[in-house]
Amino acid sequence: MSATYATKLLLAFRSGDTCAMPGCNCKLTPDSDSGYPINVGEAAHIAGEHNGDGKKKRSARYDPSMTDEQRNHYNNLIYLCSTCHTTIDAIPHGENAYPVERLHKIKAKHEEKVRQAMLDAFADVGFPELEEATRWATTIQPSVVTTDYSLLGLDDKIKKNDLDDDARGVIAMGLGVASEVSRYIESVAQTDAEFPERLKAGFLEEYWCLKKEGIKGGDLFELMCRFAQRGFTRQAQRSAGLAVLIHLFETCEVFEK
Amino acid sequence: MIHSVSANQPSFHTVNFTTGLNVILAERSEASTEKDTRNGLGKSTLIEIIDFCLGSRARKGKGLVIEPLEQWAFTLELTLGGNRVKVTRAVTEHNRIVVEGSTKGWIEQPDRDVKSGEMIYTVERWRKILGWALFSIPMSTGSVKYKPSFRSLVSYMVRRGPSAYLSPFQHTARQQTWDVQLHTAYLLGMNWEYPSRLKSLKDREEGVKAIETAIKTGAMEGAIGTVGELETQRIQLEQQTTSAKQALDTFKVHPQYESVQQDADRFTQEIHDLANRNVTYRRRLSRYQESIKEEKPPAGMSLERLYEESGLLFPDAVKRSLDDVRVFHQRVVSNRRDFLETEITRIQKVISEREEQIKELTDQRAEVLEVLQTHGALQEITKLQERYVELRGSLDRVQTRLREMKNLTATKREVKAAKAELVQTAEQDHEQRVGVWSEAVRLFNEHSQALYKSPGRLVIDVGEKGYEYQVEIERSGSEGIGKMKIFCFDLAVLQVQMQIPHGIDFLIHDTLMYDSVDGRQRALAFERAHEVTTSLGGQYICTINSDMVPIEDFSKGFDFQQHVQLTLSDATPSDSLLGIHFERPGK
Ligand SMILES: [Zn+2]
Ligand SMILES: [Zn+2]
Repeated sequence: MSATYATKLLLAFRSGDTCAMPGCNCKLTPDSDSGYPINVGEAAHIAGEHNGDGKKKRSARYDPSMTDEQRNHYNNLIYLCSTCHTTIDAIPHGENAYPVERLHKIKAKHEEKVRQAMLDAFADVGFPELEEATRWATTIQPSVVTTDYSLLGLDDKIKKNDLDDDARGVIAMGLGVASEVSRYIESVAQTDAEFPERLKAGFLEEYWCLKKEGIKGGDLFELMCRFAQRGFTRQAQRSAGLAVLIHLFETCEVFEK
Repeated sequence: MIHSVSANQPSFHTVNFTTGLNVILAERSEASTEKDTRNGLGKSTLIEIIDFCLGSRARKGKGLVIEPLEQWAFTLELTLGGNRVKVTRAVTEHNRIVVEGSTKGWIEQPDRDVKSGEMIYTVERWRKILGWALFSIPMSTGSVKYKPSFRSLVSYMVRRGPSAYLSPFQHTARQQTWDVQLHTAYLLGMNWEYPSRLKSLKDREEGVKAIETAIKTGAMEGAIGTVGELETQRIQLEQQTTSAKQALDTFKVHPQYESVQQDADRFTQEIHDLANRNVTYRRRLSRYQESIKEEKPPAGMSLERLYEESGLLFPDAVKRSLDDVRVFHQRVVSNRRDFLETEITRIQKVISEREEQIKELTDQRAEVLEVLQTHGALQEITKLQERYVELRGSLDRVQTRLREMKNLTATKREVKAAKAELVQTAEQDHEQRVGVWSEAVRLFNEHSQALYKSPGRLVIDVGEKGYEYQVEIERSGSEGIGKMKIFCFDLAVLQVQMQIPHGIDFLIHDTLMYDSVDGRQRALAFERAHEVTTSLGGQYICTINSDMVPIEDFSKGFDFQQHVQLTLSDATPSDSLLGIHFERPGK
């Protein structure tokens, strides 16, 4: 048993698709010819996975008091490149150099840094970034047009979708560029009237897909965020994707209302 | 006065002595060719026996204390301290002097041997008796370290062995300067305390020098250096000790010092975290505030305007739908404003809460830091104490050494002053006793005149180095003149001694005295010795080889043969002194 795909995606998102090891800075979503991002990062176990009883050797930092569920939980994983993963798992030197507490600190610091960079990058979002962040939508088939002008207050919507404070912070920051997003979508719609519908259809497809997998609340929100980022490497593009998602959230096109 | 020398073995040739000249003659038989066979005859042995009975040092395997003689005991009959007594000393029990005859009036009486009934002295006590009886040495000379010794004094009067015939003032080559000065002075009736005190002062001087050297070379434990260096060290150490003491006195221990330190670190970390988070929050806050300010009126009128511009009539249905859109957009924007305003309020609240927390933590940290500044950990005080003890130790060592060195300097100064004073006193004393020592000078000159028809000088000087003695006989080209200097000096000393109560009344010379001395002087010496001793009632005893007797040179009417008390010969062992043949070990 290992971490779920969703957990790994969440880990990749919060780590900004970058190796968490200080000084490594390894990008873990190299562009592929197919145009789809490939995740090469590894969800490394902080406290080791195997006790060494079976075929596999004992893992570094194995803690017998933990359950398997705890071992594969988001909280016990750190996003690393394969080199750094090998380094910290080497017995005995890697294990000695990187005890559990140290890895927890490295992870927390890295995620905080990524989050801050993401929030800061909202200031850099303009039409060029939005254009790149939504280019994918041009190939999407629009869904059936339904005209629904009903709206929910943002606080209510956050509550209804069971989002945490982190999501709330991202939304608040994203709202700073929400009108920019509206203007952009509108300007595209002048020549491609179906563009807003296509965009909405793309997000909705992912949304239902994730819902079907049973993902909800903050995790669902964050995985949608990752979907919006599409594996972009530039921070401004990534934040532009987020801004589009938040625009749709605000106008109640995606998420529960 | 020595009356006779005898022994407990019948083979021994007993010798009787009278006043005046007493000669022991050693004759060489026709048969013997070896030049030195006479050495086995026992002329030296006779003097050795006399000296043995006068308490000479007995060492196993040396002199008379040898295996062939272990059955022997020698007896000296002499008049001593007003009594004529026989004293016997055995080779084996050589620490025991047996006295026969009255010892009335002697300062110490012999012990009675319970077994044999003999009257005995230990050698140590016997020397004391002799010292008193022959040289008037007081029984007690107090705690003076360098004082007249009977054995050293008598060695001038019974000169034994070649090294006793090198200088008038020395009885052995190894004799130390102070010993020469002191005993010569004593024999001439001068103040012996002067060389004694001078020697003691020199000892102190040398002691100081030895200590100084030891300090300089580090051979002596403790601080090393000159007085100046040590003074500098002392000042430094005093300052360091004082400040160490102050640190120690004002030191306050906090039992949980380390945990307090950890608290301080934790507070600092928390304060930093809070401050950092507030920086982020403030940035977010300003973004929110900007977002609200920049909010433009909703777009969406463009379609309507498009219709107007194209002159087309805007359809009602479209218009209604557009109204809906407009309302929708207005609501979106107002929702956004509401939300952001709530967020702003919320974030402002969080920021001020954090600031409150920071303030609280800062106060707590200040308290903790106060404790850290005024207190220390337990190990620190232990370290301080150790350092203080160490410093005190070093300071003590330096101070002790400085005191020692100052004492040394003081001692040096004191000794120097004492020496100067002593020289002055000695000079004055020497002047005052001119009557005493000038008699010896006069007698020496007289003997020199008699032997060489030439004046001799005995010079006695007193100076910083003590007494300096010199003898001179102004006659060059005469071999053996050195020996005759000794003869003249010894004879003068005997005369001086015989003029005082309890002065020695015999002088003994070996044949060595006459080696290489001219026949004429030899004859004059015998005659002179006889004349002087006879007139004073003393004795001159000498041994001589028969071929050295200057038959031709004696004055008319001087019958040399009359003074021969014993003749020894090498013809048979029975003609030797002991009457037996024996080998001396290692010779
Ligand atoms: Zn792992
Ligand atoms: Zn890495």
